[in-house]
Amino acid sequence: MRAGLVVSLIGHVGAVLMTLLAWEASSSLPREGVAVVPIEIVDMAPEANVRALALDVPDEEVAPQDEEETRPNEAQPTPAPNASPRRPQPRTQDDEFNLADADQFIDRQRDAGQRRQDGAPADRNQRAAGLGTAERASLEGRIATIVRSELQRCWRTVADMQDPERLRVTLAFRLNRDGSLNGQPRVVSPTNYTFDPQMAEAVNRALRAVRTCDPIDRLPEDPIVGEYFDVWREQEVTFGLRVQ
Amino acid sequence: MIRKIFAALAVIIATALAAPAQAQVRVSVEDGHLNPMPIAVVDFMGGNTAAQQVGRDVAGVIRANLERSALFRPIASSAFIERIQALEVPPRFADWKIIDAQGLVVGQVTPLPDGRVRIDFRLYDVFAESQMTGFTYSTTPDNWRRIAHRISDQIYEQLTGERGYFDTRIVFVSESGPRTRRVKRLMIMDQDGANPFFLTSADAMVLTPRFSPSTQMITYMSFETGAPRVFLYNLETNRREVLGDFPGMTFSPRFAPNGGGIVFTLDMNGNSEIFTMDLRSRARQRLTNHAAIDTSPSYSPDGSQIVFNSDRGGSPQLYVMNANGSNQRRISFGEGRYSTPVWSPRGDLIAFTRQGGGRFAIGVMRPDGSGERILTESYLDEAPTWSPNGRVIMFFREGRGTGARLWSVDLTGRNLREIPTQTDASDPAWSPLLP
Repeated sequence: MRAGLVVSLIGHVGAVLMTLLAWEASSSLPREGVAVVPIEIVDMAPEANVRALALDVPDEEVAPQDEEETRPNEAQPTPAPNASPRRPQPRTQDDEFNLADADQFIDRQRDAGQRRQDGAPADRNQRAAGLGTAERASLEGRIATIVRSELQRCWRTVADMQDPERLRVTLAFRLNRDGSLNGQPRVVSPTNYTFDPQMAEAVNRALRAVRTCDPIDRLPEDPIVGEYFDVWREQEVTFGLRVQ
Repeated sequence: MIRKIFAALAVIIATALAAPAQAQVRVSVEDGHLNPMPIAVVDFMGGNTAAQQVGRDVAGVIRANLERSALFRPIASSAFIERIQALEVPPRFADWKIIDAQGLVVGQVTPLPDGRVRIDFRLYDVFAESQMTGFTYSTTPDNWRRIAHRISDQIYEQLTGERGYFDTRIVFVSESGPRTRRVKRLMIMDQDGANPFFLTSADAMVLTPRFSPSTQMITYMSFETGAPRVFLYNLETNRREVLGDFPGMTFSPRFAPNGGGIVFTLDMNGNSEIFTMDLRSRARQRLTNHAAIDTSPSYSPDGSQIVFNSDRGGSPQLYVMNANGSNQRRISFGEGRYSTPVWSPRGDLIAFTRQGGGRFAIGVMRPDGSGERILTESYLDEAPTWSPNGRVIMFFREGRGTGARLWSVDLTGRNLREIPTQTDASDPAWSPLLP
C-alpha cells in the first residue's frame, strides 16, 4: 500500500514536472522564434524564394493559372487571336541597336547568376528576382525597344489632328506569357476626356494600337528578354508626339 | 516588441525588393503611321432582288467615299471569310481579324409597304469586338445615295473622331465653249461628283460662288443684270435675288458663319473696299478705308475676325482684322503674291493661293501667319475651299492650254485627287453637311 502510494506520488510529481517543462518550452516559443517572418515573406513574394524549388519544373507547368482565367472572352467560342497569321514585322534599326552589347551584358549576368547558384541553372520564370539595378535597366531598355517598335507599327499617329502635341495618352496593360493581352488596356491618363472629342479620338487610337498589335509575341520569342516574363508582363505605354 | 518592429521592417524591405519584379516597363511611342485603316464594308443584304441591288449600291458608295478620304482602305469582298446572314447575329470577329479588318460595316435594305425602303447598318470595332454604332434610315428608293453618304459620315465620325463630309454638295462654275465665247454657269453636284445639275442659265456669266456655312444658301457674282452684282440663291426655295443696289461693282461675297450676313467687296471709282451687310435689316457697314485694293474677305468660324487680301504693302498680301474693321494687320510675309484667303471651319488655319515664279500654289498658314505650308503647286492652282470638317481642301487646277478641273488635297498635302465633272470646272465651294 505504502509502496503504491510512493510510486503514485513519484508518478504525479513527475507528471507535474513534465507539464511544467512543457509549459515553459511552449511559452518561450513566441519570444525565441521570429517564425512569422518567413511566413510573411512567402506570402507576399512567393516567387522570391523558390528559385531552387522550381529548377526542373517545365515552363508550361509553372504558368500561373490566374492569367489564363482572367483572359477576356475566354468563354467565347471564337478562335484564339494568335491563330491569325502574323503580318510581317519589319525590325527597325532600334532593334539591332544594342543587341550585341546587351547580349554580352546579359551573358555576363547569367554567368554570375549561375555561379551564385553553385552551378544550378536559374529558373526561367524567376530570373528577374536576382537582377541588379543595372541589369534590370538594360533588360527594360530592350523590352521598351521591342514594345515601341511593335506598337508604333500599329499606332495611327495623332500628327494629323488639331493641336497634336497635347494629345498624349498613357495606357497600362498586362501581358500573358505568350505576349498576348491579359484583360483590357486601362487608360491611365488623361483621366477625363468625355467632353474632349480630340482627346477621345487620341485615346481610341492608342487603344486600337494595343489591340491591333496583340499579341506582342516578339517579347516571349526574344532570345534575351524572352525569359524575363516578370519584367515585361506589366506595361505602361505613352502615345504622343515627341515634345520639342 | 523590438523584434516585432524589426520583423515588420524586414517585411517592408522584402516587399520593396520584391516589388520591382512586378513593376511596369514604361514605354513612349512617338512615331506612328498615317496609313489608311483597313475596313470591310459588306454588301448590304436585301429582302428581294431590287433591295439587294440597292444594298450593293449603298455599300459601293460607302466604300468609294471611305477610300477617297485616304483614311480608310476598303478590303476586297473576295477576301471576306464570314458571309453575313443576319444583322441581328454578331459577326465572327476572328474571321475579320484574320483579314486585318479593323472596322466592319454590315447592313440590310428592307422594302416597306408604302414603297419606301428601310436601310439598317451596324459598324463594329473588330479588335475590340464591339458594336460602335448602328442606325436605321427610311427613305424613298431613289434617295439611296444620300443614305450611303450619311452612313459614310457615321463611319468616318466613329473611326476618326471628326465630323464627316460626305453628305455634302459642291457648287462650282461649269465652263464650256471656246475661249472667246466661254459659257460659265453655276452647277451643283454631290461631293463625289454624282447628281450634277445647273443652277443658272447660259445667258449670264457667273463667278465666285460661295456656300453659306450654316444654311443651304449660295452667294455668287453674276453679270445677269449687266454690271457685276452679288446674288443670293436659296437652294430650298429656289429663289434668287440681288444683294442690294450699290453704285459700283460688288464681288467676292462670302457668308458670315451664322449665315445671317454677307461680307463682300464694293468697287467705287476704282477703289475696292470691304463691306458687310446684314441679310435681315440690309444694313451695311464699311470695314476698310484705304487707297489700295482690299478684297477677298473671309470670316473666322467664330465670326470675330476677317482675313482679306490687300496690296497696301506694295503687293497682294493677306491681312487679318477684327469683324468691325479694327486692328488690321498683315500676316503673310513670304515671297510671292497671296490671294483668295479662306478661313478653315476648324479655325486653326487659313488657306490661300500663292503666286510666284510663274506658278500658283495652294497653301495654309496659321491665323497669325506662322506655319506656312504649301500643299500643292502647278501651272495654275487657285481658289481653295474647305470641307466642312476642315480636313480637305478643294480647288481648281488649270494646265497650259487645258481647261480647268476640280481637285482636292488633304490638310497634310497628300491624297491629291481630281473630282470628276462633265465639263471644265472652276471656283468650287463646299457646302456644310446637309440637314
